Amino acid sequence: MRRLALLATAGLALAMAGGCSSSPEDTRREAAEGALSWAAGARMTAEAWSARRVTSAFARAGLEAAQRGLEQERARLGAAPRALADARGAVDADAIATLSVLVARMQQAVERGDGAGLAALETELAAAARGLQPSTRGAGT
Amino acid sequence: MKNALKMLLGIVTSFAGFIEVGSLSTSAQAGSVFGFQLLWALALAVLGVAALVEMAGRMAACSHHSLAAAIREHFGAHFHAVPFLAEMLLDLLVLAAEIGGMAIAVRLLSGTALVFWVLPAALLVWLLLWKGTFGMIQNGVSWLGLVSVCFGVVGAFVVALVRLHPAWGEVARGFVPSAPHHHPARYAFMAVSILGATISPYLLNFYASGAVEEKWSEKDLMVNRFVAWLGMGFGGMISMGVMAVSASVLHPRGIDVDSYEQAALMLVPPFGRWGLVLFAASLGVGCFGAALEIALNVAYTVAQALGWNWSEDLAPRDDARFCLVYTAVVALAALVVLSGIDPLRLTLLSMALTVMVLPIVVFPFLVLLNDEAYLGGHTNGPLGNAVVVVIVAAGFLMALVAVPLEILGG
Repeated sequence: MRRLALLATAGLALAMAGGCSSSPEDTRREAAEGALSWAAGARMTAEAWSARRVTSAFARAGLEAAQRGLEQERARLGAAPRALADARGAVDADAIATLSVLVARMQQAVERGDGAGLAALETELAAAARGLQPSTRGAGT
Repeated sequence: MKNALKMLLGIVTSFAGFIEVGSLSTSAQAGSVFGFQLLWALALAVLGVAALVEMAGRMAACSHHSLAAAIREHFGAHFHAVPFLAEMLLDLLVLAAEIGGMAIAVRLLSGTALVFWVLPAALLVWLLLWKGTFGMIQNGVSWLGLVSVCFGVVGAFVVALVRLHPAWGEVARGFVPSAPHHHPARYAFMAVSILGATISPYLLNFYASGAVEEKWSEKDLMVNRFVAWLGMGFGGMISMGVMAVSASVLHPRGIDVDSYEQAALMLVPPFGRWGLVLFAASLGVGCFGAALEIALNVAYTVAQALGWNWSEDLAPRDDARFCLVYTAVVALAALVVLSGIDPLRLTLLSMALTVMVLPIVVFPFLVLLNDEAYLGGHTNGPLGNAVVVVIVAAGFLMALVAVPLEILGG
């Protein structure tokens, strides 16, 4: 019985150690996936606002949350120098920074009530997100 | 006629209490990340909670004991201290998540900061508990449920699903457990969170305490069975609707729900400008009902454990300590939300922790349910025991691996 308990504990510890030691590639991939999800949310919010399906207050809050999320993903990459040392990691960090800036500008466009400006930024956002696309599971922004 | 009305009231109460911040957020996140793939976890959780709620009601009707009172009486105060403290901590976290959910519902509609709405939400919950009676709260939650159904607030997710014309074959395949295509640790964590959001310990003691307050007897066993199975079944259907709508709207767009603003978008394609209002109303109504139930349950559990006077039907001066407990827990929960913890993370984590605590609460309860001294001729059958043991044990084992991985960022 004691041996069984020891084996179970060892198995659990191994599983946890295996799962928690994320490699630079894992960190990069997770940050890219997170950023793509936030960018997709920002695009859907902007589309809904343009179609007058959500209020300006909601769109502003949604875009603000997306920008905060993108900044968190950027910080996640920044905190992993080994992930940034990789050429792909550096490209992703730049792409996430671009997405963050674009979402911030989208928020300003909503504040101004500038539908045309928002549509142009949405197109730019989609293009910037494509820079991250090949590295993830490929859900579509 | 009286029994039919009692049954309808009970079903609507159970069903309204089922939809709250935990079930909404876990289902929305699971659907957005894994599509329909985690529907099996929800079905399993609904089976588990319906069986447990029926057992809690049966025990109250046969023995006139609530869960906490019976465990304390049978196992002694020392043994009871462990499940008692575990449940108190969990109830505090879940109550904080519910109060946070009410505040978020207002934020979604107004665009104002969350902090402005936390204290008014907590005050509203406390005020109703202070001024109301058990019947008033139960009927209030029932009416909220009924109004919600009539105006399509909680039913919105099921209607939305029909309007979205999902691939029904794929939906059906979600009820069969399958290995995830990506993120296995997150898949396990989500499955555990779904179990925790559905099988809440507070629900069992609250339901049993309500049955004791209403003086249920063995004559009410049939009502209890209908209320438990139909109420939980309808509630589960709504949660499945949330997951399936999220899987149909957010998953194909690559949106993994990480904020309530993202989750709220799921009802926009099927309902247009009403989508946001319906989502916020579902969240607000559900969280309000659940916050009342949890705060009251904490007071019930503490009073029953310490042998104090307890009844929501008494005036505050007649059970002052009971009232002090719900006052303190509502205030503490508001402070937890105001501390700045992300409400969605708080919700998901407290749901997963619930599953780790579940065996401590459920297994002593099962012992009592097999004791003829409490249940007379209505003890559990082997099937009922097996269903609960398998679901709780499987959830616990998954949580043992998935929760540390999620906390440590694996």
